[in-house]
Amino acid sequence: MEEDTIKAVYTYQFGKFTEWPATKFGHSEATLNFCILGANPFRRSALDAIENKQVRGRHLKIELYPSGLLSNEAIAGCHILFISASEKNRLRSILAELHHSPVLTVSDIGNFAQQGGMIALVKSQQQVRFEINSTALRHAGLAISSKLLELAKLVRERGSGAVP
Amino acid sequence: MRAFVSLPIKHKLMFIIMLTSSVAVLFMAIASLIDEAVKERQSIRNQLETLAQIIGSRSTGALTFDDRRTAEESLNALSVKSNIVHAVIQRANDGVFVEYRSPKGGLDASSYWGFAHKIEVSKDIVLDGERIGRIRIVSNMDDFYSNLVDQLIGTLIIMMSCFGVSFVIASRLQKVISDPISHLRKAMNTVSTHQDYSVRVAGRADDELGALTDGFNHMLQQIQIRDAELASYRANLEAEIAARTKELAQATRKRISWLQTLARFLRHELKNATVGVRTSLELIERRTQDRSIDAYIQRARKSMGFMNTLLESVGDASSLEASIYQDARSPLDLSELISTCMEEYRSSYSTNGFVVKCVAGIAILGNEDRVRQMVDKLVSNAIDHSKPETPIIISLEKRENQAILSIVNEGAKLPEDKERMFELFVSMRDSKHRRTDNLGLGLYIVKLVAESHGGQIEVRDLEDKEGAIFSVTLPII
Repeated sequence: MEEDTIKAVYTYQFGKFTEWPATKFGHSEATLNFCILGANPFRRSALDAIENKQVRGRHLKIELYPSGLLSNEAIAGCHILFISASEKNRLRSILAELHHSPVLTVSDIGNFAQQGGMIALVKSQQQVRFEINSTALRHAGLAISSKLLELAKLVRERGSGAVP
Repeated sequence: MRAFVSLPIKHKLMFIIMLTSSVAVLFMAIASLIDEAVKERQSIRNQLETLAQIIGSRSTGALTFDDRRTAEESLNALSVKSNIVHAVIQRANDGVFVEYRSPKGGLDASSYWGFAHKIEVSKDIVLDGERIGRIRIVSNMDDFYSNLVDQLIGTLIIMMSCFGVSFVIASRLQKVISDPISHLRKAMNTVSTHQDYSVRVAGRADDELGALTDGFNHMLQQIQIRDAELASYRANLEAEIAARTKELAQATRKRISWLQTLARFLRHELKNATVGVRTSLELIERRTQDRSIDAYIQRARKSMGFMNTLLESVGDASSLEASIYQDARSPLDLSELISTCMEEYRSSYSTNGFVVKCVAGIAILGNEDRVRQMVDKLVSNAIDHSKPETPIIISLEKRENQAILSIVNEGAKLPEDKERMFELFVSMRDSKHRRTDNLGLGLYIVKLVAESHGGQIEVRDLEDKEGAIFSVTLPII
């Protein structure tokens, strides 16, 4: 499997282990929105692998925000926000913009979790692993399954240091 | 079965009770063991299913994110369960994801004598409604069988206790039935061996055994009452017989005494009378010259002599009966006595021959003079009745414990009422044989002697020719 496909699938799978507040979904048939902020790092095949998949009884919908700008509407509509490596330098402002909104932020930018992101995809020994910042998740009002936590490396925001 | 049939009731009852209770307990034990085994197996299966559920659920993350290490950690947790020998997580539509094998090794299929030796459960691993894999756990049945063995031992202990308790209870309770029966039996033994009908069976119950006991007691009572009645009848009878015998003896004494009195009276009075007659005859003889009258005087004298003989005979008869039972007895060789007598007879009676068939050494207890008198009378009776020139046959033989003396003569047929011959003053001779001194005393004396010696006499006609046979039977000593 190609690396981008793996990342796409992983990101979509995170949705299965995450609980959003009930208010996040407008109605019962609302889609689960997978938003990609910045330059789309996924090829078509990777996106095809996840598009319309079922997550918690909802269809996955891919939304692209190539401009890197998030409107309030977008923040309200997105459930999963994949922040592209292209936005590496703007990361701080993006996270500030989100400001504890119940949006699951995922990125493969280095030290993403340490900088306040929720789940960072990390490549180690030819495998894609992930780091989780549970504090950020908690502040955003998201609950993540312990089954996911036990697979991840838990980190804290910079200043307090990483938890091994 | 035959051995069982011959057991005493007591043991039979015990056997029946124990067999019944043991079979019941055994069935219960088997049922409870089977129940236990089924439950135990189900419980193990439930445990395994729970484990599969938990581990499967916990492995969803690892399965999703391809983290074998974490999945292995989850699976390795199974090592705390020593009976789990193998576990595997498979990915959907894929091969083995992670696998666990017990460090102790796999299954030893031969160790359960062909019984089921493993339990296997498998569960789908589902994430968000999607089947993402499957977990399979295989357990051996060590726990199951060791539990079963524990259960078996426990059951055996309980069974033995039940057996013991029921043995104690049965051995107490069987007495309710076996005791009355053994009492009855003992009583029956006593009755049959000692003929003691005063025995009563103790014990009271309102059941059939009680009724049996009552019935038995009642029966004994009836027998006892009947026995008492019989005994009293017998005592009465004996007393009556004694009284009758006494009466009879008295009557005999009276008769004898009357006879003696009569004889004395007759002798006395007739003697006086004959003195007158004789004196008169002598005077007539002296005074008359007419010799022709002598013949009448001689005839009168002869008649007088006969009258004297008659008087003496009456005296003899009366005193004979009185004395004959008081004679002294001593052992007497009958054979010898007859031989001695025969010599005298041969010389006395020349008209007839004698044939003697005498078995030697036959002895009786008796009075020699009386027995001799009896033989004399029989022989003289035989000669009186015999045809001239015919032999008198005398035989003495032994039959069982009796000496049989037979005297046979040829002659006239016996009269119809021949038994009367043995009565006093009965003479049944025809007139031409009548002799002056025969008063019918002879056979009467024979009968008296025979009977006083515990014997008897009988007479019958000869079978092949005219004549009579007199047989005297006497007990041998």
